[in-house]
Amino acid sequence: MINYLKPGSLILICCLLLAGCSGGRYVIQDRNWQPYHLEPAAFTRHLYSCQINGSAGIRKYSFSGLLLVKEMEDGSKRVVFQNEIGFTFFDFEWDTAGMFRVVQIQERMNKEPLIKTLRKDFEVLFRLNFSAAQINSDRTLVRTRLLKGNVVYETGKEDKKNIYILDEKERKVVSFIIPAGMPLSGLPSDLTITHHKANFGIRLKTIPSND
Amino acid sequence: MKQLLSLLAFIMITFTGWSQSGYTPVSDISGVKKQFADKMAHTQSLESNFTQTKQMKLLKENIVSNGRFYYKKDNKVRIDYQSPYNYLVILNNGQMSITDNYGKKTSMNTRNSKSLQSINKVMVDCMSGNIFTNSDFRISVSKNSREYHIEMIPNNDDLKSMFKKIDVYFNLDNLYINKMVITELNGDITDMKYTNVKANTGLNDQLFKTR
Repeated sequence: MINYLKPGSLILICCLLLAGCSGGRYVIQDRNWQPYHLEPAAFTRHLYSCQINGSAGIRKYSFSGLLLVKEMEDGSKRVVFQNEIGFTFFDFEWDTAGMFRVVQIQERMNKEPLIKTLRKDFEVLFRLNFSAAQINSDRTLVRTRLLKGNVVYETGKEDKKNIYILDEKERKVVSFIIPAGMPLSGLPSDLTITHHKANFGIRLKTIPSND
Repeated sequence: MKQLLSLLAFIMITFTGWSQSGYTPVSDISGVKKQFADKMAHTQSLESNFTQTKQMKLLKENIVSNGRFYYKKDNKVRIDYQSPYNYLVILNNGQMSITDNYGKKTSMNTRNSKSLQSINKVMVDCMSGNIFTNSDFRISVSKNSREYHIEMIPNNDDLKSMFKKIDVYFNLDNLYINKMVITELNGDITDMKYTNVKANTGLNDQLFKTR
């Protein structure tokens, strides 16, 4: 037992622990990519119950609310996050050309890195503002380039429709975990987004419509 | 002639506006204040059903939720959203707990935050009818044949950054709360209607346990 606690072993254990904390690698063996037309997600309205968990230093935080995702009559898209009592935290808009605008945001959330991160998450979900996509040879993965890294959509098997944002070394930066059987064409009814480096996560669960 | 028509139109619009709301200003605020103080002296607890409608004007979207509301002297409030999502807020003498739709419970001391203190106070005051002593708001009172309408405009910067005003409506006969309407800065409205209000039903303290 004492042997395991030698400095070399400790470094190894630390490395293993750190690797365990990160999102890990997403090994794409097939490199035979072909051009592919990735359609934007089709949806009209989704109301989710939303929980955000994270940590800043040693402090953990968690808060919840309702997330409304809606395509307006003119084709623009809106994402509004408010608490259950009705106060709006943020309201984002993408116009028909995909131009992003912050319609409203609470002062405490009005931080550029946070807005950028959330914007990217929604654009990945909506499949908006992407460069040309490619599909692999067995048609199980679609990828599209980001400025740094790739977004990978699992498109093949019924039970595997997750989405990953990978860095240049194909390490998972963000994972979008979607329950089995969700259609790729629209938005999922449930979803867990994990930001492996930024240490925060978003859980979404559809709230049944009042209609 | 044109001037006469304009005058008539103006009178008609004014009259229509007045008759639609039907509220006339109350000048004897100290009389109303005493009425509420007397009533509250004999009210140990209140409980009711509520329906909350969040109206997002720009999005042409309403989100409706239902639940149970409880108040117990002094300073204890329980707001229990039961449909279409679960969300529980308990305020108990400066302590606050929130249990979200995922079952995660967060407890906090509102005394550590000025804005939480203000929200805590306004919630308790609106439910109990003790709003005349709340210095965070500029208050005006009007009434019609059925209810008192208390308009509360925030004075302090924390509250001003969150909403434009709160309108609270109390039953003229028994002075129990009928409705609370929160108007946000962007014009969105959260309307909470209280029905089947019952007083002094001997509520158990367990309902207001925050930990």
